[in-house]
Amino acid sequence: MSKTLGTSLATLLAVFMLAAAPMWAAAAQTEITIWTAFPEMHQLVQELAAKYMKENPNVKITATLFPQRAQEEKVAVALPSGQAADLIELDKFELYPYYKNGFLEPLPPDMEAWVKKNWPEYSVKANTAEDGKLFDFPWFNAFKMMFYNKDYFKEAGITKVPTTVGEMTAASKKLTKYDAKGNVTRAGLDYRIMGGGAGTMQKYWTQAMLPYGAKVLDQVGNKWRAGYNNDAGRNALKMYIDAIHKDKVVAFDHKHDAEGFGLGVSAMFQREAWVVGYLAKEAPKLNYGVFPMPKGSGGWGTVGNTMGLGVPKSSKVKKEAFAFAKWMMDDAQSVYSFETSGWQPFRTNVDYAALYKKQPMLKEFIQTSNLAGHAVYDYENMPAISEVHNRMAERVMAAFKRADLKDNPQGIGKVVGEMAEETNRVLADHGLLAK
Amino acid sequence: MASPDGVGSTSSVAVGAGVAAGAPARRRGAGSLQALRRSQLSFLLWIFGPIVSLFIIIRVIPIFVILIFSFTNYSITRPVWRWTGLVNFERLLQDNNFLLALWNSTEYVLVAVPAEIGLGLLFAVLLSRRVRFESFYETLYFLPYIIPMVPAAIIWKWIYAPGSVGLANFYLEMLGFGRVGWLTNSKIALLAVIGMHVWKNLGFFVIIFLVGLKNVPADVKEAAAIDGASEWVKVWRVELPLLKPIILFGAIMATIWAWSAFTEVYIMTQGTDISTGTEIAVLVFRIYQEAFRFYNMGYASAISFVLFILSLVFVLIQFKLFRGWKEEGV
Repeated sequence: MSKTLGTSLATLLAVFMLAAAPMWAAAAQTEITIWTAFPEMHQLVQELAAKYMKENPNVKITATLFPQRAQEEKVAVALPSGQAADLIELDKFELYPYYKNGFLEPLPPDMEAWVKKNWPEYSVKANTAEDGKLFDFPWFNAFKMMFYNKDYFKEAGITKVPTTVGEMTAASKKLTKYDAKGNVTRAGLDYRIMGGGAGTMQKYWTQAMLPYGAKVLDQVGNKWRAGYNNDAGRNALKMYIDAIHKDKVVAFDHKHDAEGFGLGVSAMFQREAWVVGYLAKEAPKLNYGVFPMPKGSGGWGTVGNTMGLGVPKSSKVKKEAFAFAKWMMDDAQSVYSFETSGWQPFRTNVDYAALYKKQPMLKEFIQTSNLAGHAVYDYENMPAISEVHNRMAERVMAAFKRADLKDNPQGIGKVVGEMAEETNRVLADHGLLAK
Repeated sequence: MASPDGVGSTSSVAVGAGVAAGAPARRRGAGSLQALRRSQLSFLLWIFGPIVSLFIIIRVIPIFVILIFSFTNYSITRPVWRWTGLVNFERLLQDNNFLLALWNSTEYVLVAVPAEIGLGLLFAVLLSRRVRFESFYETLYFLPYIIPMVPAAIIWKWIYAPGSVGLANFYLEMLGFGRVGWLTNSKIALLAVIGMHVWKNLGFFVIIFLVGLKNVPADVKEAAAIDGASEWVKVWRVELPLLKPIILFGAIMATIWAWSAFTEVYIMTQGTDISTGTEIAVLVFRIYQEAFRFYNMGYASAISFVLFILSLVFVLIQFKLFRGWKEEGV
């Protein structure tokens, strides 16, 4: 009887242990959650996560995609309440206010040293907070360049790419086509004249403000004020007004952006490296090239804003989250990321030679980001920056539709002046307005 | 002596014994009634208490919370906030974006509500007559209502797309007309979105009015016919007056939906292509933007409270108008 009882108990114990083994294994696993904001990044993260989990079986990574705006809203609610993922992918200017308010963990010293060694100086500077710490991993560089249709250029007799704003404007007039009713059927230069908020302002900043030397913000000590209520700022707006209402090289009622370019509805437009992969898939026969943003009277450069990875202070697996983030940015994963997502990693000293053979256009992005004399700008690290840019976007988009601003310097001056007043009001609301 | 209440010998003994003897019996009866009332009240509290509490927590308390926030500079990204008094409300009066959104929302209500009620009544009256394939028409009208707003708005954004890409312009050009900037012409962009809103909700009003019309007593309609009333008179003088409560309900729903329109406006203003920009922004869009794009919860709360008051005023005006209509005996 006791022998039978003993055998039964031993069998029961064995069965229990076998059944419970997966649970114990799961309990021993470290779970890292990551929120991504762009569909192509999400796919990349899932693939990288699968690779990482294979190398690290004690780690489980769950990636969730929220479209960019939804991601921003979700983070706004979840991060302050300690409910956010262990890794959050967002524009760094969206992450910065959370760091300032104590919700994000700065990079550990060893990782900070690694970033300083393997990232361009402008990127390190752009992601360093006032306390001298890196507040996020600068992952991807949304570096803007001009895409152009080589066949249209040849047809128009343009033999070299524009290097100045004047050349680009002249070329855009030659490249535009109209129908019998005067509607634009092919935009000579597809200026970004509509679309959600900060993205439109970003393109306007790159296309018009930078070459004329207009700054969005002037820094005075640790305060700020609107930096564009001047001739440079007015010339920037005039450039767009002339393009839409005078030279009519772009209009509102045709297809825009990458899709428009791929369909042949525009001859030139400004965008980031991801378009290379998009066109390879959607318009493989399109004969196109890229060139750096042209020089203007006020300067030469582009906006290469950071898409970063932040780790919340509330995360219970900070060490593991940082380790995974660092792994995603090592040499091999950087090449893989660039090829898969099309977004340009910030990492320097990476050998992309094999990738250039498959997608030669990507070489232009890397080379241009290292061009001497060519500046790369990013958003300022200040809490109100997103609101400043979004509010400016609303005003410039409304201004673009006003034909009455054509040959109307007073009107343009009024628009720019009122826009600057609003920028200063936003800064004042945040206690950041310089006197 | 027989007891007036017919209780029997006990009572008559009690009467015979005097008031003192009768009082305990009355107190016992009164006590039973009170106990019954207490028991009924308790039952009602148990049944309705949870649901009323939930209603207060989810519907009523947030209104007061929003009102409090509207007097502060509360931001969800800033852990410290303070009382600012009427600053947010004063700012509203100088905020062109808010004033534009207020104008757009008012236009939305003033166009969408009469269109939905008017067209709803028209189609319901037509369908209430003997029509072949009536069920098919009812289904056709109701289908847009059950489609979720997001895919509907995306489809309409494509229909309104610029150039020849959009279906609307494609057919216009095919018929020899010029293209229309449905979402790019600031004069008609909001009307285009309102049109989409009316298309989506029309089926709801057609169905509720149709149900109401079918419930008009047949003898009333017959009496009108015998009196020689024309179809128009029958509708205007007989059916519509009887339909008043349903029309009032429809008007209130249409008003609330128009004031709270957001999804279609959000979809039409986003994206890098064929979006209108913010010229068709309505109040709820502004609230969303201030609260979740700029994190200015205090200011967003001020806009929310203004919207709440406006909606309430419009609904109260409708109640008053309908009551007046009833008193006139129209």
